[in-house]
Amino acid sequence: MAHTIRLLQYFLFSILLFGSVSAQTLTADTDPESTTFGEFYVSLESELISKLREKGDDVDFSSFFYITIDDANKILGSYILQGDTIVFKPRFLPDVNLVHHAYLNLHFLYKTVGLSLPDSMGRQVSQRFNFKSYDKIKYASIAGISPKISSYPANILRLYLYFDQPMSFQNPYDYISLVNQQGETISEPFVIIPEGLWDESKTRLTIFIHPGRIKRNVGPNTGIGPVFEAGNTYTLKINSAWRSAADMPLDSLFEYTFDISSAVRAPIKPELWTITPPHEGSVVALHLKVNEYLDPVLLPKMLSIYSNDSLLVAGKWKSDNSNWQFKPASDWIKGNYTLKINPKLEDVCGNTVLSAFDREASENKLPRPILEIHFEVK
Amino acid sequence: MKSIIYLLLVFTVTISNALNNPYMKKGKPDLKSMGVLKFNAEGVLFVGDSYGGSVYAIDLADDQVSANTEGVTIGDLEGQIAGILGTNAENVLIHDMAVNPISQNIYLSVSRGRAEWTSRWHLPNDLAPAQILLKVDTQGEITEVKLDEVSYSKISLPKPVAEGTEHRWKKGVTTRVDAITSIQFHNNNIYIAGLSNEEFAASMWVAPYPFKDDVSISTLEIFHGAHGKYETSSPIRTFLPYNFDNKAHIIAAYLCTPLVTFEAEKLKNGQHVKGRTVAEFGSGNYPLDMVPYTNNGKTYVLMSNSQLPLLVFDPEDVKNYDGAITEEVKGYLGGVKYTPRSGSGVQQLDNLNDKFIVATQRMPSGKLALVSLSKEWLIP
Repeated sequence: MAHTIRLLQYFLFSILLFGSVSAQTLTADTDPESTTFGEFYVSLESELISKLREKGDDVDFSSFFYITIDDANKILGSYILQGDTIVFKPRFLPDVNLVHHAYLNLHFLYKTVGLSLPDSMGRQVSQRFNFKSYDKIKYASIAGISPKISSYPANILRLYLYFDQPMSFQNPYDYISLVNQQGETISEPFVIIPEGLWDESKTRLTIFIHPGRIKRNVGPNTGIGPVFEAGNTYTLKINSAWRSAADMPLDSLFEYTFDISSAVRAPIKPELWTITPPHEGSVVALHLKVNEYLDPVLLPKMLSIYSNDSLLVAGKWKSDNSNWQFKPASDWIKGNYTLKINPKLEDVCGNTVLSAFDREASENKLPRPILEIHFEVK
Repeated sequence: MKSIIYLLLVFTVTISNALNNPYMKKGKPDLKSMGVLKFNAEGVLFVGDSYGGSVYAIDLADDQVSANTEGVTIGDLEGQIAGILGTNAENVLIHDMAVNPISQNIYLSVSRGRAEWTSRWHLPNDLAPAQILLKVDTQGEITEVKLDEVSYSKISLPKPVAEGTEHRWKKGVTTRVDAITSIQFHNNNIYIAGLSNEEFAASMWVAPYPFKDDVSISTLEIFHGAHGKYETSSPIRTFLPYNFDNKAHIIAAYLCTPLVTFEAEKLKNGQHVKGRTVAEFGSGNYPLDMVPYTNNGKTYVLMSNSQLPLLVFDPEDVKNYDGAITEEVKGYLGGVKYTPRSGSGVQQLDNLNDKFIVATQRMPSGKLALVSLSKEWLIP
């Protein structure tokens, strides 16, 4: 479609300038996913092409077919003949921020092949090309924040920000701020990792709340105090100047307001979890009701289900806060199963089944944690 | 008559290049980077390829003698090059510049890497490998120099600093970019300064030209007065071979600008050579280029800097400096004096002809100009 529009533009351009339509067309490959991205093409009548072929290495293509950025110097590249087309292969990929001008100087082309330029033709045609394909590159936006619960415990350790496309390597903390209900910016709320803590796809950022301010009686906690106070409301603000890997800013300022409830300083207690097992012969999800806000990113890696014969059951976890669902990849089979809990599982406050993230010294001796829950599919 | 002399000159030069050619082969040099450029008096271009750990001698067949006695000026050099590289001026990075003394054509090695230049401690080779060779003729016209089919020979440096080691205080920069920092030519020897993988990394390779296989390597040690200590890990940034009483010496400048001399005859394979520090020119500065020139019948050295002005010193002062700096120098200045010359932001330097030194200079507008400095004006 874009191609057709370009051709149409070209023809209109030719008619306006020269009063006639010539057979030569200037085009370029502007598809960033194409292997020939950035190449420029001019199609010529077969007579002209044959004459160019006859002349072989003597042809200085750049004398009549060239690309410029600034209308002064021709950009570096090489030329080949492909069918009825001259192909210009640039040395470097196009700088998508710049407009490229392709020129076909008919006067020099005809001179090169030793023919006289028909009177009906203008001396030169040119065409502008833009390699920034806006139809493919769109503004980045924040796809979600996790966990998304009515209120966060005052000692929440981690938040996850999800983007709809890979983001750039800018320092995320230049764009993220936290304000209290009086509109004052909270100072030093995060652990600053300048390149950001990203997942492989660069669409999920982990935001760490400063653990030194959460853990009681350590330097930052006694000095600056905790980041959050229970009973208050805070807003996480994301500045829209933050750019995606494709160099596009966010579509708008992002604000997420949340309440803070009391801190949770207790280990995870699987003994209080309840499992609603599904029936055999279906892919109906298993329901797991927990009493904690489990870390939504860690959980799928830390909880696994094994059948009686120790085979791992493939499937996917999804959550609705304290309600987790496990949907198997294939039908449940009748029998006994075990939900195994990796002791590295954490809730959003960093508590594990072994201990609380921040506990009293008297709480040091904990009973042996439960790391397996058995259930039966009937 | 004039044209006969001209023809004779061309003929002589062509012969001298042809004499080198038996050592050269025809084809495309396998260059991985072109961080350092230097011509010898016969117009052979030496290219220091830090990434490849090699030095190439290339006969560009650019042997038309120029009688030009004027300077060359381009107001917006990066802007001119930008179009050729298909980008804007902010992205054009000039790595090195050298003038062919036969034709007076100015050669530049360039890349599209300047957008990454965010620190005063960066040098062009820290940011990207130079991939393109350009020629600026005396009329200021810029063209690409294609290296697909040229006569060339090469030497591989023994023990260049290993690839993949991060610079101690430049994040994301590999020390390999400093395998070759500067190249000079003297008495049919090529001197190559840079970093080796020896315990004392600052090194100087010496090889006779035309190239055979005999490359010697010496490690270097200097006393850096401004830091008050001996140093062996920082490479020479720019240097000049120079005869004191008919004996070849190296006058070398380092980061934070100590000026040091070495006796060339001591640069023998496997030797650890200690330099004589004769000056401290100022801290926080990379010396970028040194060129010798003649003013009123006497030779001086002009030096460009990343943070200091253009400066001139007298090699006789270097020779006659009594002893050496061996104790900490307070205030970063000591020893041989220099004369500051007007010219801030001057980067690349080379002799253009008898009257002019050509230079690149960052102008108040932010543009990089190619300028010509009159030797007559460079009174020390």
